[in-house]
Amino acid sequence: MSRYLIFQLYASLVSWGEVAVGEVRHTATIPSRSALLGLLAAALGIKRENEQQLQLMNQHYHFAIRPLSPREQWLRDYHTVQMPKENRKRRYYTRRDELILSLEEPGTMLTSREYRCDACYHVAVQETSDAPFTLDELACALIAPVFPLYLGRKSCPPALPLNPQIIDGTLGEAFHKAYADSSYGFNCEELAAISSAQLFCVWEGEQQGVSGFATQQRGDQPVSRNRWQFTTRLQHSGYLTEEC
Amino acid sequence: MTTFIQLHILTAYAPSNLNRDDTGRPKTAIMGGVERLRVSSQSLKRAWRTSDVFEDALNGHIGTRTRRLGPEIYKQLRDKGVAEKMALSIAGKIAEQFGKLKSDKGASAEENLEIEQLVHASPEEQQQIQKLLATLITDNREANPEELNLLRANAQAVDIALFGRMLASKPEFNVEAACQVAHALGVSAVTVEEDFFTAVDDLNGKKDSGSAHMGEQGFASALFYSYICISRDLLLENLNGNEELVQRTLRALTETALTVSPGGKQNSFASRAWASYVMAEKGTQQPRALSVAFFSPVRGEDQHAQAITRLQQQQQKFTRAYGQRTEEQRYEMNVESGDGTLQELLNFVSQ
Repeated sequence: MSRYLIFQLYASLVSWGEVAVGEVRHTATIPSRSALLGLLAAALGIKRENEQQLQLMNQHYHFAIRPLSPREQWLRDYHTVQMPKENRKRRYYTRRDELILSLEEPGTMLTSREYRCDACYHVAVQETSDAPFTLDELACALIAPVFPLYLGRKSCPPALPLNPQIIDGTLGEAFHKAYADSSYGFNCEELAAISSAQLFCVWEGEQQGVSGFATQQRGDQPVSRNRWQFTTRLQHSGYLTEEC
Repeated sequence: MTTFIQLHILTAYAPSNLNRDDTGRPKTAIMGGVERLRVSSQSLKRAWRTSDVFEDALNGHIGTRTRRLGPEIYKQLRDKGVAEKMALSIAGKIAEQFGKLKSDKGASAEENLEIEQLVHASPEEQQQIQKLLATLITDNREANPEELNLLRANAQAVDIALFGRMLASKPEFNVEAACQVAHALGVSAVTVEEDFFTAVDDLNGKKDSGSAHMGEQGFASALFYSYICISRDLLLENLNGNEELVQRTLRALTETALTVSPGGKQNSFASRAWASYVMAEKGTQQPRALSVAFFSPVRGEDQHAQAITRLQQQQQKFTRAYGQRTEEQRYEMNVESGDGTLQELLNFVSQ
């Protein structure tokens, strides 16, 4: 038996950052660990500069994710950014200034940003001992967050209340119970078409009620927000065991 | 507790191409398994922050648009008996804060105090210039760099406070955006159409009546749902606790979001549109968009009425299912039914 905080994530567009250095900003199919940590930190009101608190957050929570949309699709957004050449001598106080008053013609930067459309997930959070915030505190923060929440990009606001709840059981049981709970919005008629009780899920650490078939290394464990560094972690994928 | 202001906006656009992808076609996205017309959040924000409405509103409608800031300051200084060389230098340095100065070889030093473009000097900025000039005249000295920097400090935060900024090389500009803007999506399914067009040479003779140019451009029409979420607390922090400026900023942003269209292909389509329905919500509960209302696309003839009803119902469904805190507030402006006005909406949003 374990305790899990389970909440739902849905937005018409989501984007889960992958390792990206070039022109194309890819998205993963499931939320990255760093995105989920960021979501909780934003709800709690921990600022990006607060490295110490963020470090604590990084060390004390395990995440498991159950994707619920078999119909989600993929989108590449062609994006241009108008940008004047950097001019250290001049201070631009507004974006309008920068574009209108820059000494040289503004240049254009191209990026392609990937999104997933119609994606929805259940996320389970488990705390380890000495965690800085209890699961109940996290749940309260998600109900009335300090900072606006988003699903990977600021332009991807949640389009459902997260509905955080504490559920006891094995991971498999917790996911099954959450899915059966009518208070989660996936059971509303609009979303019934895209949510489905697939058994696939991913998790970290030792979990019960699931059987794994693969273990992957993902490079989304934040090391330092200020230095923008990440390290790798192990992520297991498999199925919820059916008898739950 | 953070106060969030959420705006749910419906705006109808006639055939247009507001926001293009790399092939020139209007951007789209899938929602509910169905293709929708889309305007990216970046495109919306750029249109707003570079709009005159935004800047004018933030300057209380009574700023001065001028190129002649430098010569005016020079004249004032000379009238007060400041030596010519120093007057030129002070006027030049202040005018430079607002824009690049002319540098015509044939022109006099005074004429070259003019700024190359029209710039907008707010009343606050004008006052600050006057204050600075008084000090400089009394002390009989030039302005130091900090004094010059302060001149535009008021202009600084407003759009950056809303939309944020990250520049690796200038960390002092890093500001966490207080405003979140979702991509605007059409409430109904869309088929992007291709407009085949030809351009005929005006000087064609009778024998040669063919076209001189042929092309195609994509276009489509949609009723868009836009969603904006602002953290009032973060905005106040970004604006250094200036409550009055927060209220003005909120009013300006709301008015801009309702009346300013993205600039794409405006010359071909003249697709200027004002919002026809707005639901504003204010409270501390977790913000959420209402796009689920359009998850199954709106069909039929009266899209407008249907879309409004669906938004209202979605809001009620969420409240019923997830509960609502008592302090949550709501204001609606419905152009069709004649309920609500822009002024009342702006008062609600900014209070």
